[in-house]
Amino acid sequence: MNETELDPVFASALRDALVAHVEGTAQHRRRWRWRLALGLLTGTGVLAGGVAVAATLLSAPGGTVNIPLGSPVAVTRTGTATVALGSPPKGTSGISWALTCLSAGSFTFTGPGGASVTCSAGSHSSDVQPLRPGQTSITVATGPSISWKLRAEYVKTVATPFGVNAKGETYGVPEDLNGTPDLQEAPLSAGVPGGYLTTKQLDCASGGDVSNPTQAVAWNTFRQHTNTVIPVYKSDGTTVIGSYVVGPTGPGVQTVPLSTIAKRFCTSTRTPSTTVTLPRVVGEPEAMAASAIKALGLESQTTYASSSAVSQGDVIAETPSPGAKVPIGTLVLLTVSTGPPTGS
Amino acid sequence: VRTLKAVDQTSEQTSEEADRWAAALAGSSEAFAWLFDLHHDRVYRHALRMLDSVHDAEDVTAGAFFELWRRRDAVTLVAGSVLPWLLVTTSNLSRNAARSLRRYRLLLRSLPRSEPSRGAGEMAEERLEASAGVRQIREALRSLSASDAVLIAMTAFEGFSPSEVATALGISDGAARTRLHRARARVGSALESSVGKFLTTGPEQGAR
Repeated sequence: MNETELDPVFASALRDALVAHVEGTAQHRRRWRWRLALGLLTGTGVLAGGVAVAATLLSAPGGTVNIPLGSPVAVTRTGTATVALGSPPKGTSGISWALTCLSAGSFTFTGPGGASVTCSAGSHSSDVQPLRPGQTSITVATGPSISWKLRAEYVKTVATPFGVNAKGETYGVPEDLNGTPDLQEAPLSAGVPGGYLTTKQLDCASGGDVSNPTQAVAWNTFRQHTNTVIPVYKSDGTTVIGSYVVGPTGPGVQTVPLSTIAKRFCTSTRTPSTTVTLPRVVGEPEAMAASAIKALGLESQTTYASSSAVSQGDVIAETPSPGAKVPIGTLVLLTVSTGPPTGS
Repeated sequence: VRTLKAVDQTSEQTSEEADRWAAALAGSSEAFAWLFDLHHDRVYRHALRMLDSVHDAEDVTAGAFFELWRRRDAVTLVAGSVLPWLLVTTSNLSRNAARSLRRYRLLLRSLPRSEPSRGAGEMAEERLEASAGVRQIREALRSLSASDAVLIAMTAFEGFSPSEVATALGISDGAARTRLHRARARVGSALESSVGKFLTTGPEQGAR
C-alpha cells in the first residue's frame, strides 16, 4: 500500500489543469497588464469621485479592494528590522505592503497571518495582512546581510457590491465578505475574460449536493471519466459568449449533459423554485402526512371523517390532489379517518 | 543515517531541471508538467506532514504548483532545483490552507479524486498513525515557526544539507545550523525517534 504518493487520479487531473493554466496565462498576463494600465488611466480621471470609484474599475464587482488610510511609509533596510507605522487610523483592517528584494533571499513577516517571501534580487511582492489588535509596526525577518525595501500603509479592506443585472441576478467575484452571487466570474481557464458562470449550474456540474459517503463514492466514480460543459454568459445572465468544461479532459473522458448530472446528483438544487409537487399521503398516518407536507414548506389542516375503508388515524383524502404543483406556503387540507361509522 | 536522495541527484539531473525551469519560464507547459511529475510526490508528503487530511494535503500540493507558476518571477532555485522553493511554499500554504487556497477554490473542486476524500482522509490518517508517529511529527513541526519547520523537514525528511536549506530560506549557513540545532532541541527526542521510524516505514518507499 502506497499511502505516501499523490492519488494518481488527482495527480493526472491536476497535471492537465496545470498545463492548461500555464498555456492560458502565458498570454493572459500581457492582456491583464494592459487592462490594468487602462484602468489606472481611467481612474485618474475620476479621482475626484473618490477612491472607491477608481478602485472598482480595477476589480470585478464583489471583489475586495483595499482603501489606503493615512500615508505610506517607505524604508530601506538590511537584515531583520521593525518598521514603525504610527497608530492606525480608525477603521483600519489591515496593512498593505510591497517588498522589493535588493538581495536574493527569504523574508518572513512575523506574527499570525504573516507571509513568507522568497525572491531574487530586484523582484517585488506585495500582500495585505490583517491588523492585529495593538499592532503599530511590521517586522521583516531575514538574513543579516540581505537588503530590502518596504512600502507599507494602513488600509481598510471592503468588498465592492455585486452588480445586479436586468433579471435581478447578482454577479461578481465570490468572496468571503459578500457570499456567492448568482453569476460568478468565470475562471481564467475558460478563456472568456468578463464572462460569468451561473452558480447553480457550476455547483451542480461540480458535484451538486453530494453530502454523504455513498453519494461521494458514486460521484467520484462518475467524475473520473466524465466532464460537463456549461455556458459562459455575459453579466446579463442570458447572452452565451463561451463555454467552460468542468471535470477532467483527455482520452476516454465522456462529455455528459448537465441534466444527466442534475438528475443523479443535484436533487435539492434542481427545484429551489417557489412551487413544489404535492406528494401522495393518502393512507399514511396523520402525523407522517403532516410532517411530509411541512417539510416541503406547505401548511396542513386536518378535518376528521368516518371511513370503513381507511383505518383510524390514516389520511382518507388530500386537497389539492396528489401530484399538483402548488406554491410554497399553500394550505393542504387532510381528511383523517375516525374509523368505521358508529351505529351501522 | 539520513537518506540523501535530493543530494544524490547528479549534477546532470539538476542542470536538466534548471533547463526545464527556464523553458517553463519561457511559456512551455510541457516543461512545467515535467517539473510537476518530478516533484509532486515529495510536495504531497511534505503537505501530509503539516496537515490532518489527505484532501487538504492534495489541495495544498495543487496550490504549491499553481503558486510556483503564479510567482515564477520570484522563485529561487537551490542547487538547480525548484523543490526547496516548493517545500517552503507548501509549509506556508499549510499554515492557513483555507485562506491561502481561496483563489484556486473553483479549480480544486473540479478535480476528480479516486476515493471519497473524507473517508479516504480518515483511512489514510489511521494507516499513517498506526505505522508511524506521524501525529507527533506534525505537532512538533507545527510548534515551530514556519521557517524552522521547513529547516527540520527539509533536512530530516528530504535529504537536503543545512546549507542548501539556508540558501532557500535566504539565511546564512551558520544561522541555519544554529537554528536547526535550536529547533531540534525544542522538539526534543520525540521527533528524533519518530523520524527514525518514519524514515524506515514512510516516504522513502514511494520515492522516485
